[in-house]
Amino acid sequence: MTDQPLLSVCDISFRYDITQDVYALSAISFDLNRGESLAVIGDNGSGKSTLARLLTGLLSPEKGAIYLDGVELNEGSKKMLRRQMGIVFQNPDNQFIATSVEDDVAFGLENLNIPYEQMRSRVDEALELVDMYEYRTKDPSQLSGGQKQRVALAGVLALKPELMIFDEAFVMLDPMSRRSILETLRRIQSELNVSIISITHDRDEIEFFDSLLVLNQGERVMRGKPAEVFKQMSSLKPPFAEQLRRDLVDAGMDLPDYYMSESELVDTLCK
Amino acid sequence: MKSLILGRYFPNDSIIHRLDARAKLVAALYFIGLLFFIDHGLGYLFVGLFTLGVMYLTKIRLSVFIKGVRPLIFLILFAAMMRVLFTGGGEVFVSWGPFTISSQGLWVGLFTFMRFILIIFISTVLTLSTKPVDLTDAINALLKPLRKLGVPVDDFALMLSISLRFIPNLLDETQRVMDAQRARGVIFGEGTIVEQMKKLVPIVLPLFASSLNRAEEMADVMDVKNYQSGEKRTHFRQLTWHTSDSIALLMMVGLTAVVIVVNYTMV
Ligand SMILES: Nc1ncnc2c1ncn2[C@@H]1O[C@H](COP(=O)(O)OP(=O)(O)OP(=O)(O)O)[C@@H](O)[C@H]1O
Ligand SMILES: [Mg+2]
Repeated sequence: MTDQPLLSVCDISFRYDITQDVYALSAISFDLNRGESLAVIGDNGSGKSTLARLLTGLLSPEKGAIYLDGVELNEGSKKMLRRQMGIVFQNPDNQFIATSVEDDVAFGLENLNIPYEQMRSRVDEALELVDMYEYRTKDPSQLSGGQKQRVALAGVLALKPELMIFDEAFVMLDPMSRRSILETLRRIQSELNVSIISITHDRDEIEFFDSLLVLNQGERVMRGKPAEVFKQMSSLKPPFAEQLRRDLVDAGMDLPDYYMSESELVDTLCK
Repeated sequence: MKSLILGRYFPNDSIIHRLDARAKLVAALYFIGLLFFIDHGLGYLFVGLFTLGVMYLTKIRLSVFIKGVRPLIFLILFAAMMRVLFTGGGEVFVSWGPFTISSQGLWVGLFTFMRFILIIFISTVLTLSTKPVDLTDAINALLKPLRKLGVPVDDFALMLSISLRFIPNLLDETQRVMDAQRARGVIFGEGTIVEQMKKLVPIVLPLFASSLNRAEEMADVMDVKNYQSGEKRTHFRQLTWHTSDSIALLMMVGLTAVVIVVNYTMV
């Protein structure tokens, strides 16, 4: 059973108002393997947050099913399956439950009935990873938006779930810290074999992910490696490196005609 | 809002601040109860000095405590006056219809006054020196036995701590909504009472809507993070009992002894 995907989304549809024929998501399917990372992109209102809420069992699909580790997500299995996942929502303000940074990071651990010593070390470790350790006793009103996002992130890291879901969880971070946190996540992904789904508008974030899911008005447009997606969809605004490559080719430079990540491009240019 | 001292936390580093919240809560409640058993001036003098001592130990300026009493002073004086006028006995100085001013009455009035002031002082000490969360934890710990009767003590404590955490948010939001209204030309603090009340409606409604929205999102987060009412969960915030906490409680016992001795010997 090792080649079974961790997450399997089978043909799910969902609408908020069942009296109307407007679907927030229609017939979405995709698989996600263990240790694989996926970026979900799409315009405002394309159903990305709705997908995140369905994956965490906050909403249930009208049609289709979601399987985590081969178990169908439903009212009965929800509680057990949620132990394997962590999510950071879009709005950092309303995710802060406790009265201080470290208490908030510990909240999920408390609910899993984890002994104090273990909580202490996991909380400290997670706060170090997001560079918030010095702020551990601060209360939420003393933090900036980006700092609150880091705390929410630490809350998920401390849980050490098998699946992490981020709904535009890095938008408030400054570019430098965003890079470093994405690198940390990539390291965790390979070290602990964690799967990551990140909903994002930031095209430059995409190169940190193994594959890409493009949504448009609730429908799946494409799923594939960033290289494939950007090759096939010329209408999609590519990440900076790819844009640069295209511009350089247009300007008559002799570069290979395929998608390149930033580091690949740098290597080629330096030759 | 700024003038309300009772119920605020003043960060500081003092013996009183470092005491365990449970010890402080129990001692404060006990002390308030004890006040009602004192019926001699000497007893009041004694607990009054004790209270002043405790206030001194918090390293917070006396003026802060006085500020805490100020909004209630008329109420207290009124209560004390009532006791003076309606208590007879001892030497009668003035008598006018049902009202008398007697030596007994004056004493009782003074005691009432002292009792109120001391209650306010000691509860101010408690809230000024204890973080609201710690106080919540202490309440949670003390109500623990009720859990056996099926009372959702943990939920109650979490509810309390979330409400406390949202007070600053709510104040911020009020400010924001008021600024938004001001930017649209509303002038607050002008006009008749009715006009001013009317201006509050467009503030209260958005606040209400945003609070509901917030509550819903937070409930989702708690849900996803596996919070289950009634489920066994560990606590990250740990209260630790020190020797000084036991000493604080022993001092309450000592105080009780003094009150008993004074009550029985100084009749
Ligand atoms: N609670 C709700 N009730 C009714 N309709 C909703 C609700 N939440 C979202 N929708 C609708 O569902 C659609 C998809 O919304 P969703 O929040 O999933 O978009 P999104 O891709 O996350 O957008 P964004 O990039 O702005 O975050 C939108 O058309 C939106 O109007
Ligand atoms: Mg969204």
